[in-house]
Amino acid sequence: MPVTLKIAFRNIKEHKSKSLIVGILLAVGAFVVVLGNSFIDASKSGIRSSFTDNYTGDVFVSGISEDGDVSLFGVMSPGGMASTPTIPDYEKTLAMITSSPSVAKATGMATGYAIVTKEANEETSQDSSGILSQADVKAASRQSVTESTPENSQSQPTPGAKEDKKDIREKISPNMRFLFLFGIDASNYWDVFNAVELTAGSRLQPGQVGIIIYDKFLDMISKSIGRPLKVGDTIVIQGMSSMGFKLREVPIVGTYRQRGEGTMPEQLAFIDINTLRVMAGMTVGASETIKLSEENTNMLSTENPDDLFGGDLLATSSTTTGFDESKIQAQLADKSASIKANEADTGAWQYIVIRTKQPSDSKRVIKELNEYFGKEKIAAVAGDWQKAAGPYGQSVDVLRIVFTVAVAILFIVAIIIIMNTFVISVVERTGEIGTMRAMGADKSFVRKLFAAESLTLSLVFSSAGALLATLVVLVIRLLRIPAGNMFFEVLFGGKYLSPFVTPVNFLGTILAMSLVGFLAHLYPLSIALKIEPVKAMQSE
Amino acid sequence: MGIVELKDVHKVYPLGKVEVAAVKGVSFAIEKGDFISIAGPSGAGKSTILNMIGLIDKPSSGEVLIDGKETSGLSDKELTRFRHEVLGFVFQSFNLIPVLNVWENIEFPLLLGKTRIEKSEKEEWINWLIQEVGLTEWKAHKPNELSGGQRQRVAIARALVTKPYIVLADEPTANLDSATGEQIIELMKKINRELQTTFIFSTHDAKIVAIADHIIRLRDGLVIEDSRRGADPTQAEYAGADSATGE
Repeated sequence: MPVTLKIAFRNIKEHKSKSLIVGILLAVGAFVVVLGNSFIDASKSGIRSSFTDNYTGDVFVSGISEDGDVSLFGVMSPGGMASTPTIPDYEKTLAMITSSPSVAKATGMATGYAIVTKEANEETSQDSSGILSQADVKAASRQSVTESTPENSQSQPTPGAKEDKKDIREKISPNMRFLFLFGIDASNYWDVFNAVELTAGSRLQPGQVGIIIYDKFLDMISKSIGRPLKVGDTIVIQGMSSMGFKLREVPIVGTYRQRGEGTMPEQLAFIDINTLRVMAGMTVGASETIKLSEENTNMLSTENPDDLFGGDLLATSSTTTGFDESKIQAQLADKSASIKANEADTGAWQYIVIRTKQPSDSKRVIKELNEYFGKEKIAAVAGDWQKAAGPYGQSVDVLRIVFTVAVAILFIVAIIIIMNTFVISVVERTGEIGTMRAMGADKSFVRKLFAAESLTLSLVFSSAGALLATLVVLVIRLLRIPAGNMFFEVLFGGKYLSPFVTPVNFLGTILAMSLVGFLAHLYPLSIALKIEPVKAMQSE
Repeated sequence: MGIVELKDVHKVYPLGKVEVAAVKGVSFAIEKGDFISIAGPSGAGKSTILNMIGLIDKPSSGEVLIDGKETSGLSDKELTRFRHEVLGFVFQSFNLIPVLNVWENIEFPLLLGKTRIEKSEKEEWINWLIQEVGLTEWKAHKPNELSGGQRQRVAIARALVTKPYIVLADEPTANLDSATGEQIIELMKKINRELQTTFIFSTHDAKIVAIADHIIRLRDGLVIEDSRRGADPTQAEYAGADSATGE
């Protein structure tokens, strides 16, 4: 064994109290980091598998919006009012995607939000303030998704969580049922996602109009609208988009239950793509430019509101044209604009979700697709499940960032304490270091000696801390501690606390703590290197 | 030419705003195989001169030549190599490495240099040294398990392990009782005779000085006597204890 290591080991053993101070700090640091990361990894893994298995696939392609990032929940824009862009050159893009050897399956889809109303010709369930905004509906629907994601919408929430849910629902409307709609390509969607199992009826067929609803949620809807619902019945849903409100009567073609209990929000319903397109404003009329006359354009562009009521406008209007009833009737009889506004744009798709042959292929596929989009100047972008999951995917990263900042602070404190302990050790060993220098030890020997000491301490104690954390993780898994409420279910990626320690977490933490030990020894080392051999003569 | 030569060496230490001259123009030469005592009272400059010969301190002016080589222009690395290959140190407080046992302490200087020795040869040499200093029974003991005299014996063996030309000993008997001190000096004398190693030691103990065959006596940073036993009847016959220490 090299003499530096021999001296380092024995010094650690000899100076037990100092070694313990430094060691316990390093061990606690490693313990906290490994344990914290084990929960974050479990959370990320839970959310990831929930999203990739049920909603997003391995790769997610969307159009590009100037208002914000596009996710499965629409455009993440302030107020949530921006419309979700469609993918340009859909057929060409899909053909390119499916031709990739790494892609197993791909399907187009679009999403939207809707409220189930009592009858098409009755008032919708609204609160006293009148019509709900699109943002309100999105917010309520998103909350519902969060409550049920990633696992176990069936579990009993805590009283607090229940109150929270009740609050927002009561606030918006007491009898309202929201739906998060997946407008699917019935020809191949079920090949890509197999997370649901039909309990009644049939899957949507290509060209068929209809909706498939979660069976338990259908019971809730039945209670809300006051009549029993079953497969074959119709329900009226109200959708909101930038094109306005749309009411549609759709037949219930099936009900489903989740294969993995609680893996999807109960509000999720699968609807034929054309109905979704109309409700989400993806219509032929939406893409048409309305041409105004010069007179109307001038009127709308005036900066002074008084001009709207100016004499010239009224005088010209009354004297030159007058009231022409036949003209008004003709205009009212012309329903072409209305028809176009209600005619689905059959080529419009908001997303393409892709299942790669191996999950590990996703990064490469994303890179290839984005290069292709750039080269072909297609306004689309490919991303991973986190992009698709929008705020839910980012929440894991936010959690990790917060944790990392906390750990960084812990590291800095640890470095300062360890550094001070090492400085005391150097001062106490001035004579010893001076003696070594006098006998012919060069500065590199002193460097090795201190590095060996700090690294030995770091490795031994951080390994102990990491091992202890791994044991605690194992015990937690064995105890099957319930997450308790929805927040912790999302946070811990399941019904029970199921943290796990990855090799990267374990080894990375030991390396990081060794780095902490190494950094902490640099300042004391600089003091040690300044010790002249003559100090050997002065030691008592 | 001596193995050590000092030519008009001065050493000035800054002490706050004033400067204190510890050595004020010292010149002498030491021959190979000398057993030399640098004697004088406290503050005479003994340790300062020993430090400069040991290349762990530099003169303010003048020259220090070791084995004919002027040392003032040497870099830190060269000085380190020189100390390792040419010089051995015995310290007043023994300065053993506390976590190493007797055998390991003696071995330690051999592990510092680039020259590697055969394991068997090394073991034989270290065991011989341990036997010479009378610590065969104690070679597995740590310094804190030894008496002062035993520790200084370890320090002597350690100073000799690299087979240096010169061993410097700064007040090697200061922390020992007189009987043990005499034994240590006798041991150094014995090794001096056997290995022809030059021993330079500082002391203010008259009995110890009397054992040396070359004395350099200092007072206030100046050499007041440079004598060899039998070389010059007027100087070589040492005075009694009082004059030997200059006190």
